[in-house]
Amino acid sequence: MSLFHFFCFLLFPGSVIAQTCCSGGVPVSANIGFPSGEKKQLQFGIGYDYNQITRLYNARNILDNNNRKRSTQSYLIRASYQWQRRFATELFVPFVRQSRNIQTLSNTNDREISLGLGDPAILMSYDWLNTEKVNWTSSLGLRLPLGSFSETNDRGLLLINDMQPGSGAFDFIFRNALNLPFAKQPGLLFFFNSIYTWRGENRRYLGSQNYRFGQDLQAIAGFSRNIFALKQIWPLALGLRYRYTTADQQNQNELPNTGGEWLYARLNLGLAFNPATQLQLGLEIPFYTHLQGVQLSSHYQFNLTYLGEIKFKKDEF
Amino acid sequence: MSFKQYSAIKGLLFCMVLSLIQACSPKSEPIMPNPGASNGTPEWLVPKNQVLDGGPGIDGIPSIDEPIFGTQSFESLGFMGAGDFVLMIKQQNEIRAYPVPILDWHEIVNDDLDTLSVAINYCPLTGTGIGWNRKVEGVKTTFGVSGLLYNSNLMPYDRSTESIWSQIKLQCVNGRLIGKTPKTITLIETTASTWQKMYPNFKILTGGKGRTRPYGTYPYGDFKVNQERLIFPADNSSDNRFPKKERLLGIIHQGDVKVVPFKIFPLKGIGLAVRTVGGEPTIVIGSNEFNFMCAYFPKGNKFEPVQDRLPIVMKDANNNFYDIFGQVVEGPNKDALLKKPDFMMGYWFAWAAFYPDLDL
Repeated sequence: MSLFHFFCFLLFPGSVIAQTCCSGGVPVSANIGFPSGEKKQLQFGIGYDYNQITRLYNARNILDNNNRKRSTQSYLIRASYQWQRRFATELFVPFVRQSRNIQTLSNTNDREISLGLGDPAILMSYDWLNTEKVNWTSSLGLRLPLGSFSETNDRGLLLINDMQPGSGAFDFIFRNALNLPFAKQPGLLFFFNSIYTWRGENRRYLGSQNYRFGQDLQAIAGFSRNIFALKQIWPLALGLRYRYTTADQQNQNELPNTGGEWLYARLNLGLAFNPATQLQLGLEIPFYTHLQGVQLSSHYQFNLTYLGEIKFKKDEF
Repeated sequence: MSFKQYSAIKGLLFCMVLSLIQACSPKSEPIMPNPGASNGTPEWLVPKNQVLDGGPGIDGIPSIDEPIFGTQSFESLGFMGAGDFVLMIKQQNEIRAYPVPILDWHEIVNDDLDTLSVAINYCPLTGTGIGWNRKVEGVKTTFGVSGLLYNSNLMPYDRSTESIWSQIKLQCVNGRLIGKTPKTITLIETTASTWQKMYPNFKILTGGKGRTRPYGTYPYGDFKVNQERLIFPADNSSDNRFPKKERLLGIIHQGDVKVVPFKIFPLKGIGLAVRTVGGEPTIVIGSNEFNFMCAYFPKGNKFEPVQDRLPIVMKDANNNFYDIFGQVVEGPNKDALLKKPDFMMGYWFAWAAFYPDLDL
């Protein structure tokens, strides 16, 4: 594995999308995208994401009397296989655990939980540029509505759609990723990654209604380099993530209290066991949040990902 | 590195990941079962598959349990216009108003008047507001927002038994108190300007202790004015005898329901109409100009409307003058109170959903 590839692992770590009380929430968008590999190379990742959603916003202001906590825990399996020098196929399978905790006004704790397979995604990637120094990749993907959207609570009552593991809709994913050295600084890389998710419509929402989660645009940019300490290489990346979502739509009407924009600071620290395997820890904290109406929003997010690769020789495949 | 070594490291790391996942998962806490789940009554008096999670969850829409009142004008509240609605209550000589822009965000106010503990229930999705006595089965309780909806309508829960109630159905539909009906208290809906004209120096709700919401902003977008839009499904929503969001007075008595539109009243001043509800003649007082409707049993009296003397709205043949709450405020029978059916304002689609055989 080249140093470039090593860095690339850092640039696209797992992290969940912010989930407000009305966004889809299954963490696909920011988790897709492996670095370009060698021909007939399999890359894989096993990850865990945690998104703590505790802040109640009215537009840009935090309301001080929120008794609700939401969290999304996601167990992620990812794999990418490089068919040709420039072509790769990536598969993303999430298992999602959503919980809603409420400190009731009689000081008891109410909890709703859903757990299940989320909507998996499959992407085709093409490397426009793939050199030792510069990489530019575009991907086109489809998210499949295989996750359940009919989970019920312990009384058998249907949970609201943003508590469901699946969305019930086909989504298209468009991704661009660029990595290049920064200003001739040795070892310092600049990365930029944009992801647009076109959300499809669930036409079986509440029986016969139509529901479409908000269209989702994300851009991630930052710098990364290796730090040498304790006789180890510690790959470090610092960056920003911007996310913008439009309001959800129900029967073609915009749903109030959905959609908004966020700006996150993100830190990723890796521990490389060898050039082919590493453990990554990522942390994201929103420092700008501007939501439409009143919504719960993310307080912090972290993820832990194990990444590895297998190179198949010709006679093994 | 051989593939076996590689696999071994992979396995080790995976175990580490799982351990960290476990360590990072939220610790288990004592959990209160959902309202209605703990009391051994799984049955519902409404179709269970039509009881929907509205999203915020139990108490996610926080009721006001420590209301704060003022006596200022509605303009000085900063979030009310002349056309915004209030719900008015009168108990003995105590009169209060609850602004709908506050109720849109809290839906329930648990209040204590001098002689009555009342829960003001208001559903912003059906536009229905009514008072319930908080003394239920001899126990004083508070009501909260369960986060559930039936026919797009508020389902309060009582915090003593965690039973779930249906606001428009006026019945407990799940839980220990299943089948019980609430003791209702009349509320009259009108505009802030009419309230100020009638009771300028009385108490108006200004907020709740520990509650902050943007009261100047309506939380449901264009829901009030978009006639075709429902956020949650409701039965019989194709009944188009009225526009879905037309505000009608629903009168409920002895299992019978009648709805009354504003259009039967004159554009100016106050008018009277008679309807038979539950076999009893009922006098309906209404005003397009002042934006209110209410209903009482006439008890054999003949009434005529009184103009330009709000809050007095009518008088009988014995020169008893009645205020909007059906109480004689001038005349030989001063302080007498007319009996009344249950009534509340509400959107047409809600009346059609709960009472599909409604005969206009």
